[in-house]
Amino acid sequence: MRKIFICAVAAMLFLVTPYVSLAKVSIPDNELDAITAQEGVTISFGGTSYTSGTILVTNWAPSVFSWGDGNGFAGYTSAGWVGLSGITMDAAANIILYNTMTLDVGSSGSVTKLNLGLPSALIHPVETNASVVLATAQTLATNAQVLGTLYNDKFAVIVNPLSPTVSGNITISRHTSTSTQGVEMAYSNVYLGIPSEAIIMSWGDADGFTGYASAGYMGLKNFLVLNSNMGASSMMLISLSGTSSIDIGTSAGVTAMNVVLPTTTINATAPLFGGTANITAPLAVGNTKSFSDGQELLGTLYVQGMSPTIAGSFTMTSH
Amino acid sequence: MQRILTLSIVAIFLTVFPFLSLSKTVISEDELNGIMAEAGVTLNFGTGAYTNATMMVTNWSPSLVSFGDANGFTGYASAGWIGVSGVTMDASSNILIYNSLTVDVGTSASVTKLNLGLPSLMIHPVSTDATLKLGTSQTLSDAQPALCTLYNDKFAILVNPAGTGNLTISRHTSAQGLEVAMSGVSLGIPNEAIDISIGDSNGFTGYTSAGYFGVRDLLASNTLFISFSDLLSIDVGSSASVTAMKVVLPTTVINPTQVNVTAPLVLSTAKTLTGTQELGSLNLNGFTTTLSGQMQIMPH
Repeated sequence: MRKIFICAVAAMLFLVTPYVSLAKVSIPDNELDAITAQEGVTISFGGTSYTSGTILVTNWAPSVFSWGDGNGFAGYTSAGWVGLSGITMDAAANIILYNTMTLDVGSSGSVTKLNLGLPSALIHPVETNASVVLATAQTLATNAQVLGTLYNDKFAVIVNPLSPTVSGNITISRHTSTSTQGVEMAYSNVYLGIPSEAIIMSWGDADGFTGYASAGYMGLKNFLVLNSNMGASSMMLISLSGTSSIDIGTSAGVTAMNVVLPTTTINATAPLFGGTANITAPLAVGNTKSFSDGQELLGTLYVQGMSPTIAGSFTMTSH
Repeated sequence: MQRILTLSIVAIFLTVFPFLSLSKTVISEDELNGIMAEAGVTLNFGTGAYTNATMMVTNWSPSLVSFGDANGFTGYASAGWIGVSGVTMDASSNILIYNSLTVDVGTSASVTKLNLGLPSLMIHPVSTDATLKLGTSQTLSDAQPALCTLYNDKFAILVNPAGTGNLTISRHTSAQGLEVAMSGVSLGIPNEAIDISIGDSNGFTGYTSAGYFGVRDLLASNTLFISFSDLLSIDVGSSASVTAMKVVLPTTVINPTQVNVTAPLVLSTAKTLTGTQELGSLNLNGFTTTLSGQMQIMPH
């Protein structure tokens, strides 16, 4: 009898134990806070303004920067490279990172994509010189095809300037339809901001054209944008959405770049403030990159209320 | 004797050294491939017709665009501006870009010019309203009356449809102002019936309400071309709060291919030329007209 009683108790214990593990116990909030199932990286660079950015990058200009594609595109199927060479900047040039970046990589089927929640970045090149080059090798020195030169006295572009209220996101992959090399980027809520500061920008050509074969420069002298709705943070916004792709290839020694633009709205209406920037664009040509040669302006173009949207593709080569 | 010999060797070395740098070396094909002297950009936007265009621009209408000249021209030597204000268009307006654009900038004896190999454009404004103005400031907001208002129901213009046009752009030799040398540049107006009107908000003595003049269902029998060559220059200046624009026309040939044009002329109280005030219909066959010269434009 005693043996039967012990067996009965043991049997009950085994039967009840699984149900004991289902007993509900309240979990405190501080324990819940520590539970996040999703993997990925979030990096915070401080507050919501570049004045509260926690990362400062200086001396960031490389001497050569290039991007290569191993199999190009239709008509230019050998490897090609595009980039900047002979880059110089003043020591005052810097980049300030602020707001938050998130980083995730995922696959669906056999396609993997990188998903970036953009941080905000104030990119501030000063006294920039660079040559824009297509080439067949990464150093841009082999079969170099110079498109022209770039110069600015000062410049600033703010990437993702409206974060965290409007946060930009880029998803990056190689070509998914053809499984070939080449970068595809899908944009969501991505904005660039050009602050309201008078700047000189020029494009140079070392050898001109027939009859005008010495170096010449064209550009804007004291280009200025102003959106009065935005107060002290006045800027011109450029919005990017949809998908873009970039391929570079070579055929018979000629390198070409094929660009599919994202849907790009220049001088987009400011989401948080309203309105677009008024643009003052003094048009200049000259024989010095900074237009300091004393040649008069062509004139000044002034534009209000213009917010064009551009979409499509083009192929760029040198000649 | 040894010192003389040493000095002689040094003298010979110094004499010969510069010539060593001129010694000729065979350059390999690989090295030659690395040499491309010419800088310049070519952008291709698809080839042939606008149906092959790879780039489209929408929502391209500004509310105001103006062009300013700081030192005007003789008689109007203060700054002046020309432009359009109050611009609106329908959302279906667009621009298609096709063929190739080339960009070069060069200098000769301190004069710099921009050389553009034009792409082709199909510019398509729809239900356009604008006010054409001169002014003493970039906002065109001073008290000078407007030159006129402009309206079209739909319109299309092909810029450089053959893809062979070229513009060379510079300022005047010693003053601000725009000079554009044109070569092989043409515009094409497709054969599509369009309404175009210009308006005057205050009329004239006895007829002081707004009035409009234009063509209703202007139609060419085929694409109407206008070709340009030689030099265009534009200056805008002010004197005593009056702004004027001086235009030196390029040599302009209207209708070189001699299409037939039907132009029903209408006066109306509305920009859309509604009503029955039709003057009649102008029919033009077999004309090719060349314009050249200059003019000044100012408000009254």
